[in-house]
Amino acid sequence: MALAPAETTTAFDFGPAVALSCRECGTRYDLGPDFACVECFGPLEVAYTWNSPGSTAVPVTRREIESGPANIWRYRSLLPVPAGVAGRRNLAPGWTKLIHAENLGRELGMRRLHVKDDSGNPTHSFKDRVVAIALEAARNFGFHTLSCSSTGNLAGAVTAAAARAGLDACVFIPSDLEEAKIVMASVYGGRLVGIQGTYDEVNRFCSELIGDPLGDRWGFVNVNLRPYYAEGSKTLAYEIAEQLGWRLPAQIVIPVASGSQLTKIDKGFRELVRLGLVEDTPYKIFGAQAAGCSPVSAAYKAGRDTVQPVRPDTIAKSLAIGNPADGPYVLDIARRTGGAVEDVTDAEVVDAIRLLARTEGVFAETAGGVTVGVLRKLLAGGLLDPAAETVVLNTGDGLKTLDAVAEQARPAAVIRPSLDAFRTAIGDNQGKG
Amino acid sequence: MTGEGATLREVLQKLDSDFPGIGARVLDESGKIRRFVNVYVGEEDVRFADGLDTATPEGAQISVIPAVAGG
Repeated sequence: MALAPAETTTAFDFGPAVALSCRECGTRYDLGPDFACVECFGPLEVAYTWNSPGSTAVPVTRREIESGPANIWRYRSLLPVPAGVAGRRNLAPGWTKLIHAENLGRELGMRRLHVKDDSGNPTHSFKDRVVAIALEAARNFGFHTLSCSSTGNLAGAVTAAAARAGLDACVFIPSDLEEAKIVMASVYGGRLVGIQGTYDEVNRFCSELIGDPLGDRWGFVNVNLRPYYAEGSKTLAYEIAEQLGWRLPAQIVIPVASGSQLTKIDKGFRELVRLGLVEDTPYKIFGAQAAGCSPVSAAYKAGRDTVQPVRPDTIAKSLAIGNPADGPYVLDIARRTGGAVEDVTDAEVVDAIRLLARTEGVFAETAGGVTVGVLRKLLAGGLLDPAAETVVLNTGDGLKTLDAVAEQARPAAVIRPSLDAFRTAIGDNQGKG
Repeated sequence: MTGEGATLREVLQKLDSDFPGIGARVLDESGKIRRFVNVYVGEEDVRFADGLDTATPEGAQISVIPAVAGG
């Protein structure tokens, strides 16, 4: 039911969240399992007490955040979750490392480069953040089954979260995903279903399942729970700012699949400024795609504000979304902040994975190879300032996409257990005679 | 619901005359498909076909589905 502006609803315990609001036309709705505006099909977003029209409330201080738990719940005052969320059964993701990447920075000629390494989450990708918020929404709405359409990482995050929470899970993936992602998505129990098609076709299938009795009382984290789910990505922005000593980076490189994460990191930065938690300093947001699935990069380069879908063909399967829902917003944000959207080939992705591993001891999945590869390309093209403080995201663990580098990451030698054999293998002639 | 027309554009125009306002939910002010709507004729996303000029043969199923977040 549509609401008049600034009206609120309190039937559920969503903490500071009060309504859903259409990002396109501003129509407000009761908090519910809805994701699209009935007036214009625009995406719905969570509205809070502290960002409602006319509000001057400051919901939280730096000190309160700093005294919170070492996970995303330290930011619970800024999320659609109950106050006691930290004591509930969930995976407590977040507070992953922000690594000062001195070696990688030196190699690239950058002075202040950081890697936000989200492979440190419970199921080894940033998806644990968004799922944790969606789980609370599912509980609020009394859903018994947690579901999603997934390119792999989300499926594992959903089945693991459901296992911890004691809910059923049924998740859908394209059937040709990497073996490690298939195993990770099924090991936690629940039902994993492979769909013979692309991710975009899996999405369409899930949209239809929601309207069917088969999907009754199911919480699809990235469909009917999307407004709540997407808020979880804001915690990446909050953490980066807090870990930098409560300031915004001057530049940040973010992978783009649907574009939701990039959009929400921008939102998170703007909220921190609005709430007086950081100084209002300029930042540039750069989107990173794989060339084999680069509809947003193509639209950016062509100067368009809409995205023409593509059929994906890339090793970066976690980014293989040919029809990105938040693509138009990514274009808006890159242009508004003075950033850009760029893409790299699969060969450049593999090179970048190895570069990051070799310089920083961080083994990224292909999506991380995309961001580091794009970082390097933007530097070479003069679009990124090597002297400005920069953060690059690694959103997942290289162990999930071993095939990408398996051919090039092999033993230097396989030898008998003898010193002579080792000397021969490494070409060391010292001591011989 | 059931519609009539040889192309997607004609079907939407006819629907809008029968149920005023439906067209504006799918199309923006300039008459293009809204940025956050996916329209399919049969299994095909019309942006891979001819957009609003995509043919809608007798019995074709048209689906209008809001965009979905990533996974």
